[in-house]
Amino acid sequence: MSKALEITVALMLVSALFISVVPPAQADVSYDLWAKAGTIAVPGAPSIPVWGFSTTATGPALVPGPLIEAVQGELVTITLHNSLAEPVSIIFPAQNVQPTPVKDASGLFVSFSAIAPPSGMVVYQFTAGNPGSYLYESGAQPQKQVHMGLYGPMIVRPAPGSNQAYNDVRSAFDAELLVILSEIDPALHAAGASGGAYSISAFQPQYWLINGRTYPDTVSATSPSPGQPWSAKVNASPGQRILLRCLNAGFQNHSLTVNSIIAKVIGGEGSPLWKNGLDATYGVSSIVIGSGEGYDLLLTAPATSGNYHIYDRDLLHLVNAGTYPGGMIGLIQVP
Amino acid sequence: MIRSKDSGLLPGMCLVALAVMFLSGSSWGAAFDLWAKDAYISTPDGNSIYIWGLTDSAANRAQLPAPTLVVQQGDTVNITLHNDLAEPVSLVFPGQDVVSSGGVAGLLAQEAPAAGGTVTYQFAAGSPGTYMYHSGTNVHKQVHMGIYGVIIVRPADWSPTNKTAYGAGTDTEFDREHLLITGELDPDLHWAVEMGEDYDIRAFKARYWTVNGRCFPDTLLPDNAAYLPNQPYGALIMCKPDERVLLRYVGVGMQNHVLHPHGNHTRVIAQDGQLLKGPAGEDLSTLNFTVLLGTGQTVDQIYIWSGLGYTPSNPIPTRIPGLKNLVIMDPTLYSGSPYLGVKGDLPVGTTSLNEVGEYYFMLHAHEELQITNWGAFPGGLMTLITVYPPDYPL
Amino acid sequence: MRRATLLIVLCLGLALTQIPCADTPANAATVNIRLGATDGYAIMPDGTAVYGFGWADLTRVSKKRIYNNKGKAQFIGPLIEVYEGDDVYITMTNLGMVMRPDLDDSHTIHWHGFRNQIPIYDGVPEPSIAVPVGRDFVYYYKPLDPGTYMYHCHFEPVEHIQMGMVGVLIVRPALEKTLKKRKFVFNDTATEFDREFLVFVSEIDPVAHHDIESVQEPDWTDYKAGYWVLNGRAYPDTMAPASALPYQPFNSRIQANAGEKVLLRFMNLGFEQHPLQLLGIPMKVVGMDAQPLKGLNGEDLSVWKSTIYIGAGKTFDVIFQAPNTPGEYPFYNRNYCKQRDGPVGVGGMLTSVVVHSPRTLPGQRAVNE
Repeated sequence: MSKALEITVALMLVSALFISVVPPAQADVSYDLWAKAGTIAVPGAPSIPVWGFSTTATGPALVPGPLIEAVQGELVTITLHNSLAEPVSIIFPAQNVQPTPVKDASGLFVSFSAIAPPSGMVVYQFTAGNPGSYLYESGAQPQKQVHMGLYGPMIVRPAPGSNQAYNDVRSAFDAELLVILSEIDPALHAAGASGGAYSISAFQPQYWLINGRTYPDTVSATSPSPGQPWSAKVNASPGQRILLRCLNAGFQNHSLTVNSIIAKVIGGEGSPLWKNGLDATYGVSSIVIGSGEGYDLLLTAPATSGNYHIYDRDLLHLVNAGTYPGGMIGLIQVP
Repeated sequence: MIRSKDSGLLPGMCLVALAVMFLSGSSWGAAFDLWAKDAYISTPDGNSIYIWGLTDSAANRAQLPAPTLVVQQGDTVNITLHNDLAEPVSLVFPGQDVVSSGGVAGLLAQEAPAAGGTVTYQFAAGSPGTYMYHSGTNVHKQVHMGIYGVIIVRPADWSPTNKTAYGAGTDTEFDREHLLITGELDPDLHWAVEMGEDYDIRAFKARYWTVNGRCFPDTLLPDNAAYLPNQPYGALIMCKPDERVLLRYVGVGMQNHVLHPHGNHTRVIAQDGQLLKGPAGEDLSTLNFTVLLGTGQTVDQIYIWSGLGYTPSNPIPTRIPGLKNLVIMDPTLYSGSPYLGVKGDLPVGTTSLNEVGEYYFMLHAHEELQITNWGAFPGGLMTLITVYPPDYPL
Repeated sequence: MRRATLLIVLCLGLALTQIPCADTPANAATVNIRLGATDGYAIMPDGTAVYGFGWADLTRVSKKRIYNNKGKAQFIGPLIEVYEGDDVYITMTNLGMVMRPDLDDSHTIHWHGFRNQIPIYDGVPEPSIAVPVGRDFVYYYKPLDPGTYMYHCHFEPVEHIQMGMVGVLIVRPALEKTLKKRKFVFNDTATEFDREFLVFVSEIDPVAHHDIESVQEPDWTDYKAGYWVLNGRAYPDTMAPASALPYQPFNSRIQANAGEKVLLRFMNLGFEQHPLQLLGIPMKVVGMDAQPLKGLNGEDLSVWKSTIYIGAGKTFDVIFQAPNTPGEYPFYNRNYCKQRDGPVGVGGMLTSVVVHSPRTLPGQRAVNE
């Protein structure tokens, strides 16, 4: 071997050594999710069949699904295991993920992204985008699977353990609460679970949920079922800054209001309103959140102690099968 | 043409509430007594609908909407609610930090017990703007039944000769202001409450839509029309070219509404009583030809019509066909001439409601089923903007 | 010649400093358009022929053949494209109806959002006039604000709008006349794009349409949408070629080469509010209601969204940059209940953005091509 070639090979071997020894610039995060059947409870209906994501093969289906957390720029790997009898997939709206839609023989969409066949799996990998609050949800026959419960939240943080929503000190908070909105039509859930005809045209919700629960379970420390681990309640001392990460996973449009408190809209879907040298944040008493939309609201806990309810100002959604109070009511409690 | 008395004050404001304010002694004293009662309201197609609402006198039936309360920035506002209904009621004040006294605890607010109970709410009117107040009890029922109204907080430097919505230096000067409160009516649900039957909100289906508690064309009638005793507020907007007209939209009901004025865009200057300016003075206002008014929202905007400069001596560039080749409604709002301040020929026998050649522009919900009265057009969530000739004594 | 050069230079200078180019009579065109108001049918993916009222394009039809277009309404109506400063004359002919010869409804044209309009040209019958069957009326406009507008009939609007008398109106900025062969939303080089597509959303209540076809009066408060349409078509016809449905000539095949800027003109003349989500590509809202999203002092109020929520009567101008990776990016109404029974999206608002490798597609010659 010539001297030059020897040196070149030696250099390559040495650099390979460094490459294997030097740690990656960002940490990676990995999640394994199982799409499986389960049940959740609402007042008056203790066993509504659902499909949800679980963190283990044997654990309960969770509605909403587990929190996916990453830091901006990290490589996120999601392995989806399918324990259902039909193909499932996951899409990541507002993330820089290229969808790879799947169509059937006649050219109709089956899924908006790569599917895991029944008993199979699929791996998604992407770089976590801008800091913010996001949804992940099924992209396969979403008119059924998302309604059945296959959705969950994703938070991208500007830095590990950061108490800021974005790369901006003005987005700092003391407490945060996910506010994930959805609905349940029990007849459709029964049809979906039994494999019967799923008539989306007859969609008529009877229950309205925040974080997978209806009021009063939303404000209870007790889970109504193992599949509903999250309440919609946050405690804060006077003057503390509370971040509400509002995400509409449902099929209806909703309006969110916080009793007595003006909240500041600081951004949504990864896009802060501090930009172009402007502070374009604005105060709201009530905000319209369409399906698929996300808004980050920052508010200050009032000086007066008490209960400050967060609720859907579409007042039709504050009932459980017609009984008030129920539905989309959460709580900020100032002790 | 019918017109509302425009005294320069907020048209549709409850004059009695204003009197209470003056009598209380302070410059804009702010103590109010409101009674929760019932009443019947009328729709233009002859329907009579049972409602719940508020009134500012123990002797009156309820009015729809509740009295408009006008206070000034810096006031301490005290509102005592007296309950004449058969279930508890309460009031919530979005955007205000409220302290209650009396009454019993409810889910969203302190409540006045049924049949004679009272509760008092107090808050500091810290920030100018347009705010709503509505029931905080059985909200799916009581808000729909009609327990809702508006609070206007005037800026600290307010005076009748220096009218701004948010104070000096905020680009919110106006010449005239109008209040447009949107609402809906499901007559079957109102009937259920009247009959003491089960109120199932799942069956909600609006058949009527209202502005200031009235359906078009009643929206055009004057304030305090004798034949609408429980619906005292009109919604007819009257102005002149180049005037700055402040429109305060209040979405207090059960549905979002998309509101579209003809004649020009509006500049949205505030939402929920929050001025659209940034901390460094950034202007965050936008021009809209349609405003999405979400439930629970208020939107303040400025409307200015300036026209395109057409006059008989600067005529329009097209020829209008003869009357035989046109359809003119009967009655019509058309003057017979395309020019402001000019009247022209109309078909023989046509009733024209046009006085002096004024222009009329619709302001209406754009989910068009909402501009019907139980499906019959025209009706519902609609009013008119009337632009008078510059020399008209408005 | 020198004066024209001076005007062009002045315009260019003004354009580069992002001040709207003043109206220059030398550049303004006189545009004559003729629209016919009549009835027709829209075909849904399940084969249902839905009866409707709508507009026919009669601009290049000779006078004696105008009434041959009775019954040939298209859904949505013809695209009207003009420049700011143009003198626009729209002659509207009420052709009458084939399937409802008993119905002598008048019609009007309302240019939704035209600023400072006068009633005679605003198209609302009650304070002006309406056009009877068999007659013409000429509407005149000199648009001063570039952007995305809509037009629709305002005679018995709850019926006529739902029945289909709607269309798209684009006012192009004068900047395109000075910076030729380039496309802009407004007189602002920051709003430049390579291709533009229409996203006109509405719904169809098939029962109400059938009632009207059968000389029955629907109760509009019983409105219940049964199809949800993009540019007049429901999925999967949204993705079929333009020629696939001759009376619904606008498809929703959004295509671009990698790296190109694409303008989506969102418009809503339905009776519902809709959230439209584009998967995998961020969207920048630069205009709303035919106005740039800017504050009084020129503050940049544009926002980035993945889901555009649009209410009836609004428009949005939204620009995205086609990613470098070719592929198919689904674009859909995220109220997933707004579809008919069956596979995802059928009868509803579903399409996709198809990104090709660079230089695959030739330049776009027409809106929505």
